[in-house]
Amino acid sequence: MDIPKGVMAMSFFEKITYRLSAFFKKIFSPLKDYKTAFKYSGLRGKLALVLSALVMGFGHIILGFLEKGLLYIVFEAVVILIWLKFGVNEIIGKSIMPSQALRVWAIIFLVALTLVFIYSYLRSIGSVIQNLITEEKTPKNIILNFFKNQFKKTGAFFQEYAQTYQSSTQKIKASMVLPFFVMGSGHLLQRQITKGLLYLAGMVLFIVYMLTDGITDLQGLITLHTEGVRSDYSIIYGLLCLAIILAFVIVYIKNIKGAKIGAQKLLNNIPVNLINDIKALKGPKFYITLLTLPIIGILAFTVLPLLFMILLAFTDYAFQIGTVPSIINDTWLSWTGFDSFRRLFDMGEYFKALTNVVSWTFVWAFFATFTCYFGGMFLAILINKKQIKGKIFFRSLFLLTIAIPQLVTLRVMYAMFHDYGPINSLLMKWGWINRRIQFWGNTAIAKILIILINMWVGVPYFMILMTGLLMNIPKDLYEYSRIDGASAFQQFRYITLPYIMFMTGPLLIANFVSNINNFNVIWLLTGGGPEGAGTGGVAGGTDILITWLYKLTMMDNPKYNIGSAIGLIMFIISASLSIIIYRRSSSYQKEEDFS
Amino acid sequence: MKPKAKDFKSLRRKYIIDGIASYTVLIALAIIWIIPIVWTVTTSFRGESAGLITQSFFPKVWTVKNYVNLFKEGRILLFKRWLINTLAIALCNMFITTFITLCVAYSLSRFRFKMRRPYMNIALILGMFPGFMAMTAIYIILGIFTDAQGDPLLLGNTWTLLLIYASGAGLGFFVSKGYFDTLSISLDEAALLDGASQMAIFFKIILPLSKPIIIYTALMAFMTPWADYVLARVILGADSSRQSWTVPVGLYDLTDPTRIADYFTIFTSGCVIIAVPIVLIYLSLQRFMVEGISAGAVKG
Repeated sequence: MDIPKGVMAMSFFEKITYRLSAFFKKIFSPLKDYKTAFKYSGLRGKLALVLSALVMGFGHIILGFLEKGLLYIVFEAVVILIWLKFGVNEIIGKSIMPSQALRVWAIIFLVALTLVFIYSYLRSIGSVIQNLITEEKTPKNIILNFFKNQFKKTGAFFQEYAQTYQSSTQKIKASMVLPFFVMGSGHLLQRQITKGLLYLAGMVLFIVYMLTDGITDLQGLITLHTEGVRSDYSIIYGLLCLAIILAFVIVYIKNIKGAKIGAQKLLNNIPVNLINDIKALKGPKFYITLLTLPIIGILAFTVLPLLFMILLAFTDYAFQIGTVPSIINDTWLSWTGFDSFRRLFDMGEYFKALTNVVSWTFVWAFFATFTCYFGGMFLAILINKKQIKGKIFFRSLFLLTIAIPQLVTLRVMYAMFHDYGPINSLLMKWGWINRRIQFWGNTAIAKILIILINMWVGVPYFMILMTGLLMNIPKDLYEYSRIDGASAFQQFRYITLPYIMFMTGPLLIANFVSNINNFNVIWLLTGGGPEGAGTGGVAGGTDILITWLYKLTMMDNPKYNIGSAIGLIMFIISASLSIIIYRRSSSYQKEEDFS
Repeated sequence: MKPKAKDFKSLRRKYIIDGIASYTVLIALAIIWIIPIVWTVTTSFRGESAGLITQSFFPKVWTVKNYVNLFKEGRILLFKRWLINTLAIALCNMFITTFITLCVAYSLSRFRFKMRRPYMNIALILGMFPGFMAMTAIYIILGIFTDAQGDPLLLGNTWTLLLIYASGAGLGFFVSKGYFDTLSISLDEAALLDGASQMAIFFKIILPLSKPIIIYTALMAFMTPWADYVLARVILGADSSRQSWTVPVGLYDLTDPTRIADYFTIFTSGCVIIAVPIVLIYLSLQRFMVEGISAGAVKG
């Protein structure tokens, strides 16, 4: 957005009104051209305009923006569903919310949702009109285009394949047909013995695996009922089987590509040998050498567990009190579709706990991020002042808290504020209180303490970071502004703050996301307690989503299905936030300038 | 208008008052920050009671008994064992994880291949999954591996931790990649012209130039086992003999509500034992830490 020169000099309220009017202009100005666009566009355009006004997203689909249109339609459906389930009941006064506080939250949420809906509805019409006027011919459909490109590439590949085939000798022709049926035969016929044998061995192994274990594993994944195998292990074996099939398909395609390349090389009399291929792994293809092991590690210990856990959200894998793991009891798991999500969102204890936990999670993440950010900035500026001697001493002193493992500092803090800890004892001794304060037993106090103690841990980190940034601000900016008569506060407001905000903007949001997932501070201080306070008994008073997830899956009577459902919801929240940040961050956009 | 001597005087006074105010705030903050640390250290020398309950901030009887008791083997307390476990894991993790991280960062910084952009995006997305989802799943998956008697092989085994730390190393490349990006590519080109292979460039040119980031990554990797409580607890919690535990798991257990009354001073002495070396390392490598943290921030 371009800001006119005067905007820096505006007062706060002027700025707000300016921003607001710009915002509304952005929404409404395209709408003015509705009639003109309707008059001058063809039948398709007219249809798109009418439909987009009726149902959000149809206009986009007619103009060829399939994915965007579908997203709009899905969003619309979700909004309508939420309205049908909660909104109507709220309006006719038959609220189904279990408590008054929840009602307020629900109404706030509904209003916000409706505003967002209206906004995106107007924007969708606006963008249809704009597309008609500027006649943007190539709709962006990332996923669709990807498949189109793949299809085109495959077509081109086979065309080339056919050309090579026609111009080759009988033997090479054979080497180009056989690999479709027997992997590695092409390589063998082209005298690449080692590679050919490897491919052949791969195929044999794959067939043997599929005939012995593979089919049972796949069945197990569907039925979750294989004799002698625990149901949860069935899912893992099934996933592994799918991975093996995928790997086989990739190797199979490589085999056919290899046959073509080999045939081309033979036609042009270029020698083929394995040694060159191996040498390339040290040279231009060195990255394959470097990345193979890490990728295997990631697949085994990050991707596989995640897929497994996502699948668990759609099963009934939960231990009831008093029952033992499924296989021992001869009970099997089964697929239950979206049941765990339904249980989370029906009006029972889980929903109550979920709303409590989610709102505290966001409150916590907000305060944790901003207190540490501005606290760190304040501290860095303080230490950086000209009058302060012994800067290194002070910096090292605050650095201590980063250096000491969090487990130590947080457990010590827990002990200090314990019912029988030194704070209580000293306050009693001095006669300030006559009854021990239960710092950790009261949800409100515990929450405030958590945020304060988190400052103790997090402020020095930001201080270090800001110190580096402060030193990078050009000194002459301060000189000039002082000559112009700027006060210290003005210097801070118009030089330091904008500079730091510009440099650390993405970091601030990334820090917000990481605080949503900040397990250590909450768990090591309160363990999510006090237990069951105001959350229907299934979550603690200071539980954030991640600690609740831990309790649901790692404590007694784990409820893996509910836990996974919560994890998935968290993922959707934090992933969408961080993708937005990452795409806007300078390192993503400018990265290619470097090479 | 000419500035008068009086103006300078008032400016000077302002400067001094500002300085005094800043010092006061700074020293007050420093005291707040130092109190818990001082309390931990002094409590570890407390002789009058072993529990948390205390009437005074500083101990009345000073003793080193807590440190002696810390290293005595017991049913609950196996501190020596935990220390050795953690140190072994930390050292191995330092080498393996640093190496893997640098390899991945280098490939992503210097090579342009088809899967590069997807790999980076996927790494970013995977990093956003709540760690617990994977953790619970890893717990269930590791349970598959059992020995002939049906006892778990990998659960309750300290080395499993190393396996998991190292396998996650391929995702933590962002800071070091940012660093490699700042090293001029003309170095590589010159070496290529001289006939060096990419492998030689990586080991003989880039790595020697990357001392700060190597130290930063290594330090971070070394710290992981000392600070990681959750994953260690999930993996090692099954081991009721406590032989395989790491220091964080063991120390946390000492502050469990049922034990805090008997073990609190011992807990603080354990804290001091692990914190002192780590703090010394940090302070001596402060420069690299600051560089690393700031680099990570700006690359964001």
